Amino acid sequence: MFSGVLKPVMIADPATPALEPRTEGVSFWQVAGRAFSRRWLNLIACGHIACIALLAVFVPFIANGHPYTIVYPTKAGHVRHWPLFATLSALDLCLLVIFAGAVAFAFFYRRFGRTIVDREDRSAARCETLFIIMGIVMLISGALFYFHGSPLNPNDYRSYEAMIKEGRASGALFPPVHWSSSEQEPLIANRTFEFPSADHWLGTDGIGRDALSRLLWSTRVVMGIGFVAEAIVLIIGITIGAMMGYFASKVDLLGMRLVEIFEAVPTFILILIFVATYGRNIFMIMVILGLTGWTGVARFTRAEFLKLRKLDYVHAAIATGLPLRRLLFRHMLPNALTPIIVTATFGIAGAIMSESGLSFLGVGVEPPTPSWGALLNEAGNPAETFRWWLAIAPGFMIFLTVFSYNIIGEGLRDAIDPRTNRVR
Amino acid sequence: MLTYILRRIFLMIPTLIGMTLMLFMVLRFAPGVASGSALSSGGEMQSSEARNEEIRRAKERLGMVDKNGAAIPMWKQYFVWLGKTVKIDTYSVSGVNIPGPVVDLGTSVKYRKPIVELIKERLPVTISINIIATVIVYMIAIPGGMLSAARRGATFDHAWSFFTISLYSLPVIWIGSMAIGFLANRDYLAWFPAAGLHVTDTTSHTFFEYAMDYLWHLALPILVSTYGGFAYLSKQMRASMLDNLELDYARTARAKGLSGFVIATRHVFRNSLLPLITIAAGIIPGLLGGSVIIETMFSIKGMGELTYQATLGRDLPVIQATGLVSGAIVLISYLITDICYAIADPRVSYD
Amino acid sequence: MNNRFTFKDAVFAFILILVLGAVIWASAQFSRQEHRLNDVRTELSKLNVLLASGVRTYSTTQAEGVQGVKPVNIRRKNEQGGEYVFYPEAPTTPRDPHGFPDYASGDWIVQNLGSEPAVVTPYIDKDAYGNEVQRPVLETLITRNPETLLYEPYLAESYETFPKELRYRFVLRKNIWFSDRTPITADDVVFSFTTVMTPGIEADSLQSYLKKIEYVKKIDDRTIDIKLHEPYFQGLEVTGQFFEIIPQHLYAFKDVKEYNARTDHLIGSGPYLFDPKKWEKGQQITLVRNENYWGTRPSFDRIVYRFISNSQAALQAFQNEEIDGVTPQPDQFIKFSSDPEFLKKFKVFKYQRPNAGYRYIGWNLRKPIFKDKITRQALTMLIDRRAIIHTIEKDLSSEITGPFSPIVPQNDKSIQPWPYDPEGARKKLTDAGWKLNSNDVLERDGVEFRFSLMIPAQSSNYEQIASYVKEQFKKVGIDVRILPTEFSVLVDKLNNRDFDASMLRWTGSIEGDPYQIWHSNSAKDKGSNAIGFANAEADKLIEDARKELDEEKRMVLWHKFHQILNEEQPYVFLHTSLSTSFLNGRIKNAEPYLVGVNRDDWYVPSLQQKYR
Repeated sequence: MFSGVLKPVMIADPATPALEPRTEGVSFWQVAGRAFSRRWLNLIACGHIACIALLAVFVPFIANGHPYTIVYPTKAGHVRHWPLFATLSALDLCLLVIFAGAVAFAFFYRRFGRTIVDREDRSAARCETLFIIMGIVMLISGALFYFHGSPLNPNDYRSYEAMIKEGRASGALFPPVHWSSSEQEPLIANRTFEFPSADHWLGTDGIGRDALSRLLWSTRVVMGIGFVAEAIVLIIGITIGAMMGYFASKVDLLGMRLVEIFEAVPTFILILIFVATYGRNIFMIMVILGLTGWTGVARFTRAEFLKLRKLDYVHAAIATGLPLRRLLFRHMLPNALTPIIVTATFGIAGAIMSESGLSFLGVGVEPPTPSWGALLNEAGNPAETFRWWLAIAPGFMIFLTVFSYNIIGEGLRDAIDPRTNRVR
Repeated sequence: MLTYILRRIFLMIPTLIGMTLMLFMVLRFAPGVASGSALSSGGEMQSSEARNEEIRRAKERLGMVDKNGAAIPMWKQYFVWLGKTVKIDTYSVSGVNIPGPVVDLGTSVKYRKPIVELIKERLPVTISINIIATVIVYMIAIPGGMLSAARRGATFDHAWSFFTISLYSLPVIWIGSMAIGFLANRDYLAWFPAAGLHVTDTTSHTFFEYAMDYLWHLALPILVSTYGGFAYLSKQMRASMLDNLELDYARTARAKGLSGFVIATRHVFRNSLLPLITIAAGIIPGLLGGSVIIETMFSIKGMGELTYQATLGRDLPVIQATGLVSGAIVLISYLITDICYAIADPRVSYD
Repeated sequence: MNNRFTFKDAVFAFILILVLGAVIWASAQFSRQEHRLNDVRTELSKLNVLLASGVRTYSTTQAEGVQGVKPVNIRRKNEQGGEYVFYPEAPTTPRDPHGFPDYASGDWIVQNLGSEPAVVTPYIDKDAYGNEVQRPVLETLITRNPETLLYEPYLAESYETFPKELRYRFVLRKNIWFSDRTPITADDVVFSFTTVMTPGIEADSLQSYLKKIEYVKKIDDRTIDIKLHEPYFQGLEVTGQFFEIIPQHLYAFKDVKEYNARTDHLIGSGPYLFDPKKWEKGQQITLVRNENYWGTRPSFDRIVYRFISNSQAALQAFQNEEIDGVTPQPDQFIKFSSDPEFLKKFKVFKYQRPNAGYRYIGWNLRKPIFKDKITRQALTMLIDRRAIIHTIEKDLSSEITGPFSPIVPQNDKSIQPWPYDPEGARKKLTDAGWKLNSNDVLERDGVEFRFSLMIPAQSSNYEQIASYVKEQFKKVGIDVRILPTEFSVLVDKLNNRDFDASMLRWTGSIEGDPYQIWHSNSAKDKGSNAIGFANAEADKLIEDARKELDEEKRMVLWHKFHQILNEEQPYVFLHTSLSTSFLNGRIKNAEPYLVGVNRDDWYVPSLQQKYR
């Protein structure tokens, strides 16, 4: 298992002259990647998604009611506290750990690309590094969730402001958006539905919460639901599709009935009932969106596997006695990936739209968790008192994100499609 | 071909049974089913006996308990429902009695009306919105796709693709809110009505006024349902036209000296339309399901709104009936799509 | 090549067909218009004839009697300490418009019912909408005067209460009949009662109240005796007003299931008639004036109920003068009640009804965190109810201290609401044994102060109040999780006692019976005492007050009960809503009473009448 990392591999050694110039061919994915990057629109879309993902990870440092640092005078002199860092929740820290893991993996990916010459060894090394990093990340996350209590943070911006005014604190440095997603202006002050002002750059909602902060915090819900729901779709869809495509005959017959059943059921009814039965937990919504959307991926996988099973290398693998799981997932699946990836990208866009629709109707995430669809709902009944400034921002964000995913999906499809490449 | 159709219809039956069974079980396990709130206001203050009696009666009406209050096992409940819904009865056609399946969808708990009547009231609404929207989508997407294919790789192609994808990405909830908020709100422009399908007093309207009023009310919902459909259809049209333009007969026509426009409209167009016709059959499921979001935002009483309210209010007969009907229609429309495909393209054969 | 039918030809043919069709259709429309014009002409000539013959357009009431002599009503006590009330003539509304100089009968009143009722048959109606349609068609033995709140005999000409025998005697009037001119007799009263109490009929709540009646006996053709099992303070209301009188010869049934299946069988003795043919499903119900009515002739020719559920569409219809009355949403009310253009054409009313009901947060008293009253008092002090009323409810609610409306005698006006005092609340919590732990959460006996608050889903008001409560509690170290739950699921959870805290509404009444909500017996099984309030002293007060027939003594008991509730704070009593309504300007004499608006008062002067 650790062959790539522990076993010595051949490295380009300047001392031994190469016998003949070694030209490396280009892999399919490199060709596709280059075709994809040629259109600047695709890169912009990727950039947008990367921004949103970074926002989702780092939002506690951007929009928070706690200052980075503050100084309290005590009897023993002035003590410097770091409230923002002290009040990070377990989820915040987990996301940071996952981000660190992703960065580490990217680092090792490129390093192996440069140091290990043999392609097989290189991909093996990359796979193993991936598993190691994933293992470490999961361990740390598990430990974090287990040991980190869920403290309540009673202070918010207004209370810090009061403390500074009274002189009980000083030297506070606040994040750029100094509101948390749930802090309300004092109800008696009636600062609800405010137009954007210097205090609140996008105004306030119906109970005085800062609209910009809620917009930024929604990225977590949206990205989370997009990725996790699609991951569930992929897991279920690929498994069932692969089995159907590979075994054909009876398994295929039964499997297609199952696919048709799930396609025929009105998804919306299922989602509403599940939400009512199991509560509006964010994870349940992810699972439900996953359970209702896997049929498309299953169909594509089945089609690909039906084609692939006739190929020679599959027959050879069966003849040599390769275990079924390895055959399906390590040999056939990578070749079937092309339509699956494209479908998956469109699937994420669809999941985001579905979640926005559900939150808008009032059956999505629990309040006060912000989500762009829920923010649209809070803008009020559009037919009566329409607060358009509260409706423009979240709607536009949904549009940009879904649009980026769609552009990436289209770009991938064009890049992967051999016909488009050939003519170009 | 006929055997293929018969085989597909035969295979539909286990799918329908499986789907209704799954829906049935999910509904029976969901909370709030027999709290009686579908029957009464539910929030009244009642003595415990009154509430128990109400719950017991609700459960009896739904078939969950028998007359003495003992619980009926789930599988038995399902078969009783199945037996009531699909019966083999005799039709009399010009004097001759023919046995055939009769579907009885039951009575709604909330509205106390036969569900068939409810569907008869609401289906035309949903269908009119969806059909008009579909026609508009076709009318715009087909020329767009043709032009994209003709100017492949040029600015128009990229711009049209960009345009349609961005339209597809615009969330309906946003556009709908903005449309109502700016176009139907008395604070801004009040060009359109915000809700419902009719101005309320229609008894003294002539038919023409009635129709105009209906269309005026439908304008915003149709606008909101249309814009998302261009992307897919236009792409399909473009792809199929490109496929046909590479074929020999098109190259022959070009060699003969015919202009591009003539080739596109007279020769290639009809052949490229074939895939789009089969796609049209795929629109049928959407006709029945409707769009819950659009109907809720505009307070239109269509099929989507019926399903939504029934699910929230636990009106079990309605949920099961619409599930059965929409499932059957989805499966039938897939079959029609496949048949159209076989008819349109003689190279495709299922036997 | 030349004879080919091309695409251009197809288009041409299509246009031709269209033009032909348009011509035919246009001529059909013209002929329709001709018909309409003819109808209008005949109507005009009829009117001319009428005017020429000098017909009076209003009719006198039945109760004129001898010129200038008003009938004398008797109200006195009898030997048993009960009452004897005799009204020789049926009581009219206190602001009877029939004598006004510009009074005119005629016109229609078009009102908006929020939603189409499922059933309008008496007793088995399922919701307030069916009830609303029934009210002009059915009548009861006694009614309540909207001004004095006293009971007055209506279908009965007299009633007498015998407290020692738990008996009530009603004597029907001589000249009263149903809409088909069949006289109302004691048989009909007995039949009405037995219909409600038939086992299997779908009138559970009504049955649970009428269960208190031991028998309804016919003494003679006009006299009925009703006896209760035990003394009950609402005895007169239960016996005389709870069930409407329906004609036996039209409602008789053999099988309960057959009665339960009737959805539109509505016939009574009231001033309006219901015709099932006039129920346009999905659109409206029309009630027509009963020309055979035995009592005071009402003003309007017709009452039309439209079903517009979307509040915004209803307001638009109201502004287009398609409906005459609407209950506005808070946002709409604030916007239009100060709009001078709006006020020129329409009337705006804001008033407090005693049965408006109240909103509350109920703590599940079985949970250890809510066990003691000091904690609960502290929780109430953390919620600024006045700020909620001002900011979230936009001043369309008023403050309350208990389950009674602030304007009824049952409410103890001397009780002051708990102040909004977060510091005092913190102190109380510390007194109750709560301490902040390392998570910044209050803890007592190893249990952290975290709970979930259940609210009805899809209601922005509830969500806003709940979010506010969550923020307030967070400041002292209490963690609240908001659970918006669908209504049917919420009712289920309340029934099964599966909740920590819940925010909801109860409706109210002029003098309500707190037994169902506050008595410990109702905490069992699925009774409405979902929080499990069990206070022995409160139990005794409730039982005593229910039996106490003397009103003054009863109020003292209610006030004591109110004080216990205020002390124990099993609910946080948030507020009670004010009622608002918009009315079309042409309707006169529409100012609301204490109990609400009374349609019997309204009329439209003949020059401003809109419908014929």
